[in-house]
Amino acid sequence: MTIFRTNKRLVFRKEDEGAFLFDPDTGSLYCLNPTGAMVYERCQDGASYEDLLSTLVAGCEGVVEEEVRKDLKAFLEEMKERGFLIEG
Amino acid sequence: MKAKGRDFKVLSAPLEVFLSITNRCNLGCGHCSVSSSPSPGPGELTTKKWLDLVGEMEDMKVFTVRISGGEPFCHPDLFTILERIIRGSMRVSINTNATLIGREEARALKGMAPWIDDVMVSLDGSTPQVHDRLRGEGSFERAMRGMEALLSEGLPVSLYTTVVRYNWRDLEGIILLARKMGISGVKFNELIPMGRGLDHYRELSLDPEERRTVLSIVKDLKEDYDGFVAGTYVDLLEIMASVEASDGDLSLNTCSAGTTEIAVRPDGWVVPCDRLYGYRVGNVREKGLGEIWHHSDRLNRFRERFQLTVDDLSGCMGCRYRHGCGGGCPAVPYNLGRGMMSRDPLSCYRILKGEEGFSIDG
Repeated sequence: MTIFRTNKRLVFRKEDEGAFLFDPDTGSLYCLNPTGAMVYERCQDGASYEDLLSTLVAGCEGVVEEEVRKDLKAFLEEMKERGFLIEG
Repeated sequence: MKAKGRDFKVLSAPLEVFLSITNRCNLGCGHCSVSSSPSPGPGELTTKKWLDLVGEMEDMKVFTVRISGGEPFCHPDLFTILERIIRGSMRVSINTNATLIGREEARALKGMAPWIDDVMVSLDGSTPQVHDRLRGEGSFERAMRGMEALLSEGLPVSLYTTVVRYNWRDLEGIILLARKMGISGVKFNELIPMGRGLDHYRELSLDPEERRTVLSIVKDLKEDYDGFVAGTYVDLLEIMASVEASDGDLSLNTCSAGTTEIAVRPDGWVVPCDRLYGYRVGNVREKGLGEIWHHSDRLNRFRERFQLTVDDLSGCMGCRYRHGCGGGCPAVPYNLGRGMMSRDPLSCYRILKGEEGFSIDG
């Protein structure tokens, strides 16, 4: 099972309405919305795609699971491409 | 019913902290905004206290730090402070006159280069004749040597020029020099009436006609050297365009002061930004920076400004140019003793257009 982990070199800072991700090596500052912040936070101790999906589905009443699945995949892909999440 | 300004939420911590680590400076410029002195000012924080503060900033997850002074290279432990900042996963920028930077200092900075965003050098002319008139004899040559040392070690260097009566004809010369040297950009900023700059304001500031000419010059330079020119003159051009289009609302500008940034003076007093040097909101000798950020009554009162509109400023209510004006910078009227809820005469479109005059006397 694939586990997603956060890049420990980044600074993750929670705010009332989401979170910041800051890369001190490049100066990149990235804003996460509350859902993105929650997913990223879950990955701090390592989380599988299935774990993340079930957490999101449970927390989003009335949404179509397929939509959540699609959004989560896109989010994880983007985080991996940017080097914010590490797979393995 | 009065219009309401923007909604505003306080972040968990500032994104950037401005640290004036000493008031000491080896120059004595008449336009200095902080009235620097040849020796450290009274009650300056010890290096240990600065290091403790940086540790707290790391815990707060501050992202960037701007080091200034006085002249930061006058501080005997500058490099110790810089190393601690970088070890705390923060990036750093430095404001300097560059005259104390030699090969040794540049080499020491090179080791930190991946985490240095900018070394911003104050240069007020492209020749010794212009620069030294403002900064003292020999300072141009020393600044040039310092910048060359920085650039030869691959450090990112930008320029900061305070535009005054003696150098406004030299702005393109400064750009050409900067581009030849490999400098990343130039800020052309107005003289702010504060510190020694207030004492010398009559002598140094531009008259209304010169000011309008400078705005026109900066507009042309911005077009000719795209992406290279910034600063408060460029900000002013944007305000003018917004006012002329009358397309903005009445909200006051939300600037970085107390919203994304905070500043700490050499004596530990915390102020919303380096321009509001006298508006003390707490002292890091007595309280943590986080406590001041969240719970200082004075800081929270200052932030209430961002929820107001231009109509709340004295001198602005009913002005026909108030749409899109934003109310300028609160530091200017504050430093002139008029209070923060007065109009900013340096951003006022009526004054820029020549419909009204401006005097620091009132």
